[in-house]
Amino acid sequence: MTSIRQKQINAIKQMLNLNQAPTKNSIAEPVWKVLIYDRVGQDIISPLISVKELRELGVTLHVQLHSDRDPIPEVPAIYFCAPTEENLGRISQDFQRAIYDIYHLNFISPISRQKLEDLASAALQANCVASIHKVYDQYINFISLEDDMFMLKHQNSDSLSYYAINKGDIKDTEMDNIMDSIVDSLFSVFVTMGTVPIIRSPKGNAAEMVAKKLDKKLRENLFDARNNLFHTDTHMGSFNFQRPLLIILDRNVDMATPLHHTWTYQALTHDLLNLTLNRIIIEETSATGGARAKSRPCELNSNDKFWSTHKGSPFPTVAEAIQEELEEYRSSEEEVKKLKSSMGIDNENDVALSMVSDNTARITSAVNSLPQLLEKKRLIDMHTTIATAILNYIKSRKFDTFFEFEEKIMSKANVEKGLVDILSDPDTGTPEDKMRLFIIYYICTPYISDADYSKYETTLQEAGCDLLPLVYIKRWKSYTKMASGTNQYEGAGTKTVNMFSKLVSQGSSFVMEGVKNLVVKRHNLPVTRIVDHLMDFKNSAEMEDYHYLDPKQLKAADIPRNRSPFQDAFVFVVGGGNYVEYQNLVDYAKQKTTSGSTKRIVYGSTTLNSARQFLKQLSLLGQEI
Amino acid sequence: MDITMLFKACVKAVKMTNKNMGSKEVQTNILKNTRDTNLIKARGIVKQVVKLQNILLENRNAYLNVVNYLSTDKTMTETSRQEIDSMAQEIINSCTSQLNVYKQEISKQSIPKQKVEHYSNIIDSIEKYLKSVSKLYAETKAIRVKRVIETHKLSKLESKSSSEINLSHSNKPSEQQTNVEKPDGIVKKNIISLPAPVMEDIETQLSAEEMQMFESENAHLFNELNSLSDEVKQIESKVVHITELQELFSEKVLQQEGDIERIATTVASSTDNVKDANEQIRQAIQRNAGLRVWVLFFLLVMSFSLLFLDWYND
Repeated sequence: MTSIRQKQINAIKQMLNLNQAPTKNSIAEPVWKVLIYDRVGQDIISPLISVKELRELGVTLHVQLHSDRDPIPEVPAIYFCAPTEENLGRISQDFQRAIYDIYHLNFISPISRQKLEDLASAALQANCVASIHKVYDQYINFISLEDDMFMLKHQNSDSLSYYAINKGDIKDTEMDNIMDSIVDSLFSVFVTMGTVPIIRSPKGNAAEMVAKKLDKKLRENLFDARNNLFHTDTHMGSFNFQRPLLIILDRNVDMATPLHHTWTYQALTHDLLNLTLNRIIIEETSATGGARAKSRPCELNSNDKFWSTHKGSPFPTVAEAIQEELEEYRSSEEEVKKLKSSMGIDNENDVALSMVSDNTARITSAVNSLPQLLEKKRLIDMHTTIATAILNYIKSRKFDTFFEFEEKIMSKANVEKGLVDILSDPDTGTPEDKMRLFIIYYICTPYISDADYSKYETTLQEAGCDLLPLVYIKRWKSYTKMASGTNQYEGAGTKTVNMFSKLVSQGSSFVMEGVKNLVVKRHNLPVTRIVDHLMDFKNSAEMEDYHYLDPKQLKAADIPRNRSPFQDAFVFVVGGGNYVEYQNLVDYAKQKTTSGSTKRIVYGSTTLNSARQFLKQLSLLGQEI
Repeated sequence: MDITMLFKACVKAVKMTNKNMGSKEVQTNILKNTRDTNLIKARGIVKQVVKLQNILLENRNAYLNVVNYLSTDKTMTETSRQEIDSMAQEIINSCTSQLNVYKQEISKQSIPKQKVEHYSNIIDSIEKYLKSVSKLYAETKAIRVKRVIETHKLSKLESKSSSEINLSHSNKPSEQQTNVEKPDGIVKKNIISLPAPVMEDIETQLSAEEMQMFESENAHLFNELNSLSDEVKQIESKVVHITELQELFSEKVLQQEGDIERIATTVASSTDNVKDANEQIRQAIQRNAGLRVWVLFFLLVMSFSLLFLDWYND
């Protein structure tokens, strides 16, 4: 099964090829085109296709829809935007000004009949119906960041955030709009994948609404014989076994994980360096007295071999791996240099034939591998800068202490004394960090006496924390206490491994003294646990309580008891996801695959929140109470 | 999902309603009046390159069929091969010169920034296409050269083994035969063993010692010639390698040339700037000095006039 990211790339490439099937010939005559996108389209395309690939596909110019554009004659213009009123107005303006000669309009989500008629009348008025060659509905209203992770919106994501869904004064119409946009995007995910999932969701919150609406939409589309988007391939065998499971969860099921201090490479870049759409901007301050700070954008995507192998590893492993790569690179550089010197010597003496042949072969291999070496060097440089920046943050905010503590809290160890020390210590971490730690403590301990609580509150206030999120969390806890009683974070923990001595002795550039080398024990977060139960049909609270919706069946059916475990799953979190959960799911899938049953899990959410953003939303919610 | 049909249906519906409402219909103008001159030139260049690519691909099999085993397979004579070579070279050269002219034209025209980007990207894509087609041509040529060398090798092997057989056969009888083998450099298409002229024995009877001597001399000569031919072969293959490397290097050097020129112009302009800056600083210092002189003079004059007035009034 090709990944969702690959399918999205194929769809976009076909669109850029003017909706014709791509030819096999590697050397083809270039067809020039102009690409025009809006902000949603930009977010979708930018993690998938680089500017170089666009040029290879023949796109000579790519501009924003709402910018001033000059007329470009005779070249087809490909529009890729969402069918909002604003965009359509701008497109009609373009028709009036007759900027381009050939229009290919691609709408990210399907355009309604009414808007299509408006567009038709605008085109008629501007007298350019003949130049509109194609109008397409592309069902790709989502952003895929990795092969198995996607999210719905990036810019303008506040409309879909946790705050927007849970705020106290939300109107029904607003809620409907939000739900509709989520359902629309999820629907386009499954159209792109080409499968109809079986939906399971908990009862009683936003997830249930999304699940029911999605079920209705899928059902309507399946039984609409005329434009059925899910072409069933008869040769795919028994369709029953290939259908994936879609689990829709609400953020409320696990509030501690977004605030957790992270320890894996990708999660750290997201938390500390604001990884957005697979891009980071690093500020390099120049060492000389000047105050100039150069900011360098770095792109981290799956082409980078180092990144794809190490994005889930804990930070000390990453530091070691960078060292290794650096050593390897240095040795290959040495070889090339030796070659140069040997060639220099040989030019003076009489050359024996065998020497020449050896050297020519070596030169050929060196010259061929030179661009690869340069690329590798660039990547190593980039990762070194990123890792150093992260290391500085960790040291200044004592991230590792927080991480260790939170892991201990989650494993129900008794940590009363240490907590007060950390919270009142002005050196460790920002007030935000302390707030995060305390909220996790509050969520995970079943009972805190009032005296203790007020003591903690005063300590926090002295440290300068904003106490509003606590108010909201208190209310949330009282709600969830009614639902489930057990602590769901069991099994976490860390052990300190004395491996950093090896690094220091190597005289490495990473001075990791003072940073504990923590190795995380393998454990399952609540989300992973739910996924595990649902996929394997284990007997648990979730299996009984959750809805079971199957769009392909005409009437609501009971949970079939004799089905084999699912192999593919889509986990969707309404209200914001994060890299920690994603990493946990990836680890779980890998573990299951190595132990026999293959599992493929795709993680999706409305947006990706860093801990800071989530804390802000919680404080806004706390203000309302 | 393609909704073009739906769109056209909507257009028709809107047209009907407009007609019913009695609004005026605008004449549709399908034929374009003007064509973009820049694009015409670009398209012309692309057409030439496409033509070259088609010719190369069509004749590829015949071109590469150096050793003609079956008479039914298409093949080419050497002259037609060289014709193709020269023609391809010509087209590539003319395309590059046309591209350069085009580039200069575009830079001279004053057109808005987006169009400039558009045209420069078009030029880049044409260049890439041309490069890939010329690489195709170079590859086919290299394959042909390799095949020719291989056939040379094969035919030489044949002649050597035939001469070896002759040697062993001729040394058996007591009659002395000196075989002089003439390694024939020019190989015909048919691999037939080369005639090894056998020189008839001069003296029918020779002593055993002389025979041995001649035998050892033969063997010695034979080995020498073998090693010579081996070396020649190796040199040939090395030369082919070196040409490949040379191509790579020349490409890199050309790239760097562009960069170096850019750097040189930047350096020249920056030295000019520095010179101007020096000039201006000098003028500023002079003016400053002049100003100071005038201010001092003014102050002196004023103070003297004050003293004078004071003395006068008193």
